[in-house]
Amino acid sequence: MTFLQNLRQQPWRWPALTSLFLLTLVFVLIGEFKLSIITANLAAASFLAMAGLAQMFPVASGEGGIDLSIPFVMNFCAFLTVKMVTGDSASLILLLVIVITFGILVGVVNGIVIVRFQIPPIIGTLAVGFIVLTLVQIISAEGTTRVANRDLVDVMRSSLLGIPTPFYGVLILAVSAAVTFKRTKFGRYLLAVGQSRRAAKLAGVKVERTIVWAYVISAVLAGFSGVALVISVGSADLQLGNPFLLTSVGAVVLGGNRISGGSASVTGTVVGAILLTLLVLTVTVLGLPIEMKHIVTGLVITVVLIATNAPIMHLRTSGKNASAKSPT
Amino acid sequence: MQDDLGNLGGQITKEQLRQSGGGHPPLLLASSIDKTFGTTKALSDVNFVVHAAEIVGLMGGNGAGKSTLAKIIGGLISPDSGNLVLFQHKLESNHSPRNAMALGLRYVHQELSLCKNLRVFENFAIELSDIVTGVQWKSKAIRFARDALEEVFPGHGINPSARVESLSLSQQQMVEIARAVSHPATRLVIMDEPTSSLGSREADQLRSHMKRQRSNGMAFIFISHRLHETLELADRITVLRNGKVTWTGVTKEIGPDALVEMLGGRSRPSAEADEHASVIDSVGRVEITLPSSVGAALQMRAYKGEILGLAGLEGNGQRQILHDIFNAAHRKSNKGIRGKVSFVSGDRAVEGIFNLWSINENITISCLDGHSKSSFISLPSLSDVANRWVEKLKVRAPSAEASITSLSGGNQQKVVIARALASEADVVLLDDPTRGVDLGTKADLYTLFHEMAAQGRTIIWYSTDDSEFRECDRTLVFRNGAVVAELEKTELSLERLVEASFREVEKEHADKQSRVTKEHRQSLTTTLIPFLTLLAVLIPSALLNPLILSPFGMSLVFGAALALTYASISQLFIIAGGDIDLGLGSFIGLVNVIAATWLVTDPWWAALSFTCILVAYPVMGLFIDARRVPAIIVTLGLSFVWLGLASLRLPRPGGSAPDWIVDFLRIKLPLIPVSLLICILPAVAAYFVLFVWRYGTVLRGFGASPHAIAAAGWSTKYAKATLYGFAGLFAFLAGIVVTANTRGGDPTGSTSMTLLSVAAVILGGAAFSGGAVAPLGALFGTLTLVFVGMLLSLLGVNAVYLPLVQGLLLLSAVAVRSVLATRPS
Repeated sequence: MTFLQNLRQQPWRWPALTSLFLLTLVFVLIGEFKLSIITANLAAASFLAMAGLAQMFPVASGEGGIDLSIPFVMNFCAFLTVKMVTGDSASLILLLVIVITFGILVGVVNGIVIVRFQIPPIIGTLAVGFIVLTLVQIISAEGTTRVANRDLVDVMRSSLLGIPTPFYGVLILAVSAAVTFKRTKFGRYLLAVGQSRRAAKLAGVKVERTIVWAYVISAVLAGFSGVALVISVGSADLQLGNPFLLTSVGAVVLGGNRISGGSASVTGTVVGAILLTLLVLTVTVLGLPIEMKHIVTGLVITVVLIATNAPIMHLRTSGKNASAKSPT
Repeated sequence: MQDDLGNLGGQITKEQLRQSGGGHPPLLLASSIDKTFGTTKALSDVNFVVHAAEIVGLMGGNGAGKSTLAKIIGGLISPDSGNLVLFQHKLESNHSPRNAMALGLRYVHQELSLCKNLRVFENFAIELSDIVTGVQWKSKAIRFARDALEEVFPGHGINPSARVESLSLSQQQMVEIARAVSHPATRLVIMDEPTSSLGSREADQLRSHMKRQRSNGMAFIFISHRLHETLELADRITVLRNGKVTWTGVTKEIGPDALVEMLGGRSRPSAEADEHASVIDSVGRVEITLPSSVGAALQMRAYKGEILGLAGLEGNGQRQILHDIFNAAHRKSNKGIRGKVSFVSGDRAVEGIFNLWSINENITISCLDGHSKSSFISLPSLSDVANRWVEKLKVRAPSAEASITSLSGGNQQKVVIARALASEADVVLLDDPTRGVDLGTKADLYTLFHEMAAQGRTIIWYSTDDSEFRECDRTLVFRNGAVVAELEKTELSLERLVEASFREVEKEHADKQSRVTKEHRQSLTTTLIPFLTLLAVLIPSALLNPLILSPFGMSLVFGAALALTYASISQLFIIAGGDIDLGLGSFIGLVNVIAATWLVTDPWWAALSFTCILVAYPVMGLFIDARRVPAIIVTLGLSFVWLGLASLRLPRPGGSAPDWIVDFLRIKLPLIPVSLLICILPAVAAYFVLFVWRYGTVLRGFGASPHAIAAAGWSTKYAKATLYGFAGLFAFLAGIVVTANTRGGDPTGSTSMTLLSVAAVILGGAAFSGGAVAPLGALFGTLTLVFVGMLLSLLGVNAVYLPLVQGLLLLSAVAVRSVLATRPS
């Protein structure tokens, strides 16, 4: 199989092409080629890519899987970073341990609420999000919002070989996510569950456990995204993660993943994040009012979703009457 | 057209007209009907006629084509060729359930088509929309429902105001039947197994009702597996076998023995056959004894290396037993089933294949655990496994990496079987595995099953194709969930199978009382619990600060909740349709901004833009319905559009409010604070729309079971757009209230309402599945969420804990409800 043939089968070919087009448009509009624009855009896309990778796991689990607690978890971990990171590197390691622990906790609660109480993911993760929001408000109530270790901020804002530091983080997480989907049992089980819970159950997959794990991974990755974001921005605020509620889903949708679950393209999600960031850049370069970025982002995500999600009837499980459909 | 009709009638019915002898005009003429599903010929050259004032029995074994013929007549599926003339109308591609109903045909389905979340009389109202009309439609519908039920089932004991889901299966069937036969325009009723879930008294009542109606000129097509019933009722009987009419004639001319023979059985059943069938070779070969939870009626054993067939007419418990075995084996406390159990379903599309995957991935999903101890998988060794099985089972595919959907049905089935074999299961459960599979592949599969058994596996095989039980070592025949016969291979014959399948077994009748408690509990959760929660918050607040109960205090307290009550009712309409609106807060912000700017300066611009965005809501609903995209993502995406538009108009909070809006909120009434009235208004309005207006019943029915609503002849698109339209209207009002309250505009000021409104509606007792909403409950939910903030501040608790308390409230409300719902009654 040649490279081109391979490319043609990738779900991310359209967002990638669109990204290239937008980038060209930007360079034409400003009248020169600047590597720094690409670098800056990659840096801005990094945090979204991480949040998108997080969102990809619950979405892959199918049947309305979505994690609305992501922005709240990001905010919490941002403030955690502000509180904990001092000059020495040991504090950074401790921070990551706590972020992972917190992510597991939130993910398990999300998963159990969804699996045990049979609550739709949107409501369950929302309620859990409310609770995390309180934790954010408590942790942010006093003290500074500035990241104390400015060296760390500088490192996060710098770039190596034209690639910004946070994007290296994205690469590590993306490779891990890709390995998870392609080379682990869990990845296979999650995709099976997302395609058809009934078939997965009859194939012997532990459906409930798989779903809980998807939410755990989502919360942990959201935590990482929050940490990287706050270090790059330099200070935390209560609204830091809020835009990621929509854009994390947007990156997944634009990346060619099926919103109904069962598929996961890691490259697609990263490319989707880059595309969304480029859209905002293009709005700016075109000289449009900055408020237009909301409209463009919202419309693009909605239109792409409506255009690409053709109804897939036979995947809709109909419970007991499944046999009734076939003629006798 | 008239000539055409005459010819048609002449061609097919000369003989049949003579047979019926009644001289009544033909209501239905079906001639030369052909229908093929995949490789299966479901019907070939079928002629069928029904006259007025006649009951025609339609009989046949599994896969004979009865239901297919009934569905073609009912307009659910269209024939490949042939003519259909119903009430003198020649039907072609325009035939649909709606059309059939309009002509006077009713179809009582095997699977019920009632809206379970609605009450009995409401189910009557949605189908009898031309009769139950006017302001007093409710009392009319209640009377109609009671009379209709009384007419068919005297002494039925069904409360017309009871929710359908609170009724027993038998009572639901009674409602379905009464609804179909009671419409004055009904001239022909198709009854597909109407008595299968009725008790014997109700079945008797139904039969005598049908006889009464027959003398009034109504005609019935009666499909039943109960021989004596058909023989008693039917004037004529048509027997189908393998999609062909094998016999058609007057009932008097045929006795039960001859009829069984027609169906493919033999005439004299011998009782002793079953006695010696259960001799068991007890040399420690027992592999499965079913746990008692499955039912005492089923003492079933299967042995190592045995192929055990599960026979009987469809839907007599065979499939249930397979699922019971599978679930029991995968439970932690597994008793009675030793070894690994795997499942092969014949319903490939729904429970067999993973259609985004390759053959390889489809085969190996069940053997990942056996293949490696670590969490990782080794692709080359999985490929080996897949290739081995593809080769062994002769799956016709270019390679194991080909997409599963590129295969034919039979080859897909081989892949699902390969999955079961690759998992090295000791017991393989086959759920009608050869359905829709071509003959050549079938033979391959039979060989395969024998090989599997020879390797010491146990095969439990349910089939709807009786000839397949020739392949089984032993066959159990099911009837009404019980084993009625056990046949060794040597004594198995088609005749015996058919004879045992049609054997009469009186079914224990379901206890009607058991469901009553559930009805009670449901009303408790939808109205009482939200109200009690509200009191639990309000009473301590009032104790802490009695001023809250003063008129001024009340107007302050309700003023705080004002906008959110409108937002919640908007959300309620979306949730009633089974969706969730994540763009509500931003939309309210947009209305707020327009009201705070254009409404003050350029009222015409404001009117124009309000009109546009009010139209946007139903249009959004139509898109969501047409493309079947998740509403949450669409509304989430559009929330950014609303936010962007609002920010374009007013980048920073500002503007002012038109005086007349502000003045409106300041109106003073004696005794009652006006804010209380404005608070209650949206809930009362929503109550009127959804529970008093007749079309509101349709809207609620649509939310829970769109198929039933479509079957009753309503447009689901229109229902969806209506729900979204009301949601848009109340969101608009919420925006106006926000403007009056804040005297200005803020694009992001209302965003928190999105989540709070969802929480309020759910707290108020709504179900996520749609259809089950409670406007008053939503009002209580909203007030609870707002008052909790007040209580916390009275208690001196920091306001940052508010979302925590709100989140916990929401979680505990749904958790309590889910516990209540799953508790066995």
